[in-house]
Amino acid sequence: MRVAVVRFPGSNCDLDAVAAMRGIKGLSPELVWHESEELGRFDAVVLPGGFSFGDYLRAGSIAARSPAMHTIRKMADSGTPVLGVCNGFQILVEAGLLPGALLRNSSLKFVCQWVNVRVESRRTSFTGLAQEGQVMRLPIAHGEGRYYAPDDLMRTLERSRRIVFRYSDENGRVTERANPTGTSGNIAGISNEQGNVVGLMPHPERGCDPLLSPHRSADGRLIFASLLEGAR
Amino acid sequence: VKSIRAGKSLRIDVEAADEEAAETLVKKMCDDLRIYNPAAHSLVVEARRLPA
Repeated sequence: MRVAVVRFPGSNCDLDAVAAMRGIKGLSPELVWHESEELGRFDAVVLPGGFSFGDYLRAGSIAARSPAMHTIRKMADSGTPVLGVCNGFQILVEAGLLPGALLRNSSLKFVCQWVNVRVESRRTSFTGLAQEGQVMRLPIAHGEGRYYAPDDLMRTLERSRRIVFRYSDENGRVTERANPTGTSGNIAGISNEQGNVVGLMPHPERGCDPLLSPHRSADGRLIFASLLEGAR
Repeated sequence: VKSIRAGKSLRIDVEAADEEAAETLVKKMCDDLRIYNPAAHSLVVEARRLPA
């Protein structure tokens, strides 16, 4: 499966995403510049983390208007899996491919730490290999990652089971204390209605190698490997 | 002080027939280009005529 990792000016997790997917048999990741016209030949798209266009105006707002996003919107509409990680999630929200907003963390500080996230739905292109209720250990690193949804949108997300990940404690309990940035409903990631577009603030690409994890975990692999499961 | 709300201020110079037309133009631009995110932000547009 050919996976495009789209590079914007200011992306900085692009190489990590490629390295993570190279470690999964069946995935062939390639870096693609955001002005490229070759995106259409890929089977899936990853928008990596970073600080695209310096986060000017709002994180992800300028990248959301880059040439690649026109193609990505069409691909998403036709069912192609699209994953946005951190800044990639912010870009998907700013592009209107996912609803809501990503605001400054409630602490008003950049938060960099390992967190627990509970898988809420496996009905997406990126969670098919996970179990609902499973707790993943993944790192976060962002200043504008407080997912916000107005009450009516929260109800829609809940009803349509589009909340994919929630911050929890290590036992899967969703508590205020386990919410590192003050997100609505402890949300760490959501999907579109079809489940092929997923955005999350934690970094699965940094959680794929036990050597890089304080917990010796590699939970992030499940998110990328699920691409293959969905393609079967 | 009862409350404080932070926001961003953008100054945009446009050519328009009058203040009302300028506000309409800028509001449309902000909506079309999603200068703000309506899920979380509100938009206030105020027009002022620049000295000739």
